[in-house]
Amino acid sequence: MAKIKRILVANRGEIAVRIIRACRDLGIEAVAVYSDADREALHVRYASRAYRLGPAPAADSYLRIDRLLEIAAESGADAVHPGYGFLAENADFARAAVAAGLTFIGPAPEVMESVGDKNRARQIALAAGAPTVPGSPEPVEDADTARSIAAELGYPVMLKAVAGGGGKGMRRVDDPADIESSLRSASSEANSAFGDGRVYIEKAILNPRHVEIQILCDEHGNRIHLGERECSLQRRHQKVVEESPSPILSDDLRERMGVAALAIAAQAGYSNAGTVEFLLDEQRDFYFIEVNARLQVEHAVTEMVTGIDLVAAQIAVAEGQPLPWRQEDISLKGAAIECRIYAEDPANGFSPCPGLVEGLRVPGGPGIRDDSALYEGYDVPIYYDPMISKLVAWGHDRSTALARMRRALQEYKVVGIATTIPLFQRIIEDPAFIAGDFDTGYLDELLQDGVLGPDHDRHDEIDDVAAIAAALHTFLREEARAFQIHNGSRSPWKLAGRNSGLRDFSR
Amino acid sequence: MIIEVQLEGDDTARRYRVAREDGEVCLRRLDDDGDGETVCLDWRTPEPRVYSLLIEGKSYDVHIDENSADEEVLEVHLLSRVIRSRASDARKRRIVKDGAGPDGPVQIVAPMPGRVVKILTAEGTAVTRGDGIIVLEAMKMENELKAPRDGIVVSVLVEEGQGVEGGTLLATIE
Repeated sequence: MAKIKRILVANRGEIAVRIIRACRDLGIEAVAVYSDADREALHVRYASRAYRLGPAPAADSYLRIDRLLEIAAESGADAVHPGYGFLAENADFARAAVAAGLTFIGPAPEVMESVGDKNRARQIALAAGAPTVPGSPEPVEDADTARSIAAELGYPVMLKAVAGGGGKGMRRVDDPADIESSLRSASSEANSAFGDGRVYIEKAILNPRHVEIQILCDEHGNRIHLGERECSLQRRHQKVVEESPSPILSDDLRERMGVAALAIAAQAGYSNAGTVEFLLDEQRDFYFIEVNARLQVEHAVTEMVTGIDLVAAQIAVAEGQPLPWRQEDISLKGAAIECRIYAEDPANGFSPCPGLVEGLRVPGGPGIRDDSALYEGYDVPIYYDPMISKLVAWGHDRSTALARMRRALQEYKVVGIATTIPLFQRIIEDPAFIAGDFDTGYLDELLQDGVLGPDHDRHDEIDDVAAIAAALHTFLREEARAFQIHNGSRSPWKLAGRNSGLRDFSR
Repeated sequence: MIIEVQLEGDDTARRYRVAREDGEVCLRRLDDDGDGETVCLDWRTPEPRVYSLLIEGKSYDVHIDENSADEEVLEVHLLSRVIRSRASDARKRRIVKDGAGPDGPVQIVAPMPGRVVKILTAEGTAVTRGDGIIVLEAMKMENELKAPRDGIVVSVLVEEGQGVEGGTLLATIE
């Protein structure tokens, strides 16, 4: 059992900051890596050491296994944490890190490989006795085979890419006549997205909910689960809001899903933190879908309700320590909810909006946690994932957590770039969301009439104040402009910038 | 100064007379819906682009984003709502409307790096203020660059499909 002293954090942005925070809490040195776009990023400045990877594009920096290993050697790191995204589920990276004598903070490379392959993962789940979505055991080659399997399963069925994810290479088929064309288009989409056109068939689960179980396993065969996360609120198959516990899980169902998740982990020989994802149908029957062999974006809601620092737990497990908890030690206290805030403009088709953060006010107060890498003056780069913050609210029950989240969203001010905060302000007021009554298709339906909705009700008082503020803003701008013109271009006002000039002007 | 504010979704614009009175900014609504009373604003800008307004004892924390391509297009963030509006100095607008604006050439410049998706007016076309000249796509978002005043498009310096840096001169109107 070797104590880890220095961790290379092979990631960037808010997750790199999150991992560095755990390192600091544990008295472990963190080594940051950065691309040319990230020299001024917070993760570089919070780390005790930082090394340049290469040019801005991820392929030249955060995906360079060779550079990461060089930096690990140069910095004297004894372990590597991959975060999520980039190389987090790349078994080659894990294998290379282990071969270089580093402790990889995650599951063993071969386990990562076996659970990362959808077909093999499904075999593991079947062998573990966990329920899986009925479907073809092997990829289907031709329409006739597909049609006969579909007839056996019963329509509607789903065609899914073997290498899939994020909804790519996925088609729902309601009618045998559509099988051939759907198979062709799913396969070609999968081929262009993943370089692998293989497609398999599953029975379609109608109006499903996405509920996943957080697991934590040590290297001595001890395995516990930390309850579930409700992740049904998705936009185009991407999670948007997550919470724990799920508003619809009974204690009995949680117990059964937890047992199934741990059976799969045992069957796979899984160690470290991971997530077993399930779909729930309308009868609350659950079906295994996949294992995520890494820390997840939404891990913080589990941390809030269990009180366990998952990154610290990952490090302890990687050191070879046995888990300090047994299953009966784990209970979910209160409720936590997370909003993934993106630098995207919800009013403009969610187009990415990188750029300069001119002003920032982060919410605080009881139950609020903001995992972010933003600061005032930060220039959000165009090269990477646009997620800029994970805002988490905790309360002793769900309605308190929602009220705190509503308040925190109102406090949160990001000035200079568009963010998805207005989207969450809509969601948090939505009656179906508040009632916990939603499935994975719900948000896409809700957003069909625009992000702010048809009854983004006009409010006389707010309209009046908004118009007054707009008039004031325009007046001050024109006044400052006239002042500048009057005083010539060398005016110190101009040099000092408009806002500071205005402030003095008002006195 | 007369300021016109058109809120998205409203049929008509609101008109305000805004003036300094003893250093304070005072404002009176001129259109029919207003009660015509002059209100002096208690306002501060404690943070960049953030206005703290106190109106009849009520506190409003407002943040305003200007569109980078058109300073008159504002996004007003207030109490969990985003209100889109166009606000302009009515006098400037009138000058342009009357065709009595400054006579020099006006340059249409790319406000940000992007790609020219469409050229809407050929060289030699007469345009009026607000006519679209060029559609620029930046960060997967299309922006229509409009004629800031009446005139003739005397030159178009880019082609459809061309990538441009921010600040690139795209067209000139005289």
